[in-house]
Amino acid sequence: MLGPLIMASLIPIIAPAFAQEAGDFVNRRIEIWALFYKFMVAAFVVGAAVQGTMVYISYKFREGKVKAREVTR
Amino acid sequence: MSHTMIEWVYIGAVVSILVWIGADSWIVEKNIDEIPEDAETIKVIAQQWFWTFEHEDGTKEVGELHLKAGKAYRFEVTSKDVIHAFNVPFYTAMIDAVPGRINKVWFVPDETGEFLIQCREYCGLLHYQMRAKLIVEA
Repeated sequence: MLGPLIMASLIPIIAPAFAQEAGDFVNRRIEIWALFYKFMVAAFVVGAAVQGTMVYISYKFREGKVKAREVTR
Repeated sequence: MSHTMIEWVYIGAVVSILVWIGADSWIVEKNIDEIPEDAETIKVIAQQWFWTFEHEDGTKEVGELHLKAGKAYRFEVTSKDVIHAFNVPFYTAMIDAVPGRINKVWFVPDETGEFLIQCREYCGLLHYQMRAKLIVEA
């Protein structure tokens, strides 16, 4: 699972080798907005991972306690 | 799945995402910090509560800035009184205008039209009206 993510972090580091030549400018507007959207994706994915883990742990904990199920019946 | 396993997967996923986004933002910041050598310099002078722009040939504009599309411009921003901030929202350019200091920002206007230049640092009573017009011509 970590492989693709590590690759995804390495690609932008080697990407500048193909970047800006004379008269070919970085489009600041596009770069910054693209980064903003990536931040949004990262924030939502981290949020989902945290929330998902909490729900999973709570569910497993509850299922492991027979008494807790009896109380809700 | 054991708790330890869940925790390692959780930590791995979150740390990987943060490393990826950190590396990417470092690269983007590095790219946009590099001012092209052939960029034309515009001196931007802020004061309560208007903007003055000085081109390389010495011509000055007040409250309006005329630029050519597709050309790189380096803005050397300073202030005559208090701290202001030079902001062109459409071109995502913003830098503080500090008295006694020259801060630099650059961009290439790629679309023609009229765009807002606005002070983004509270600078007194008429801060909200400290605007100028960026006119990008073909």
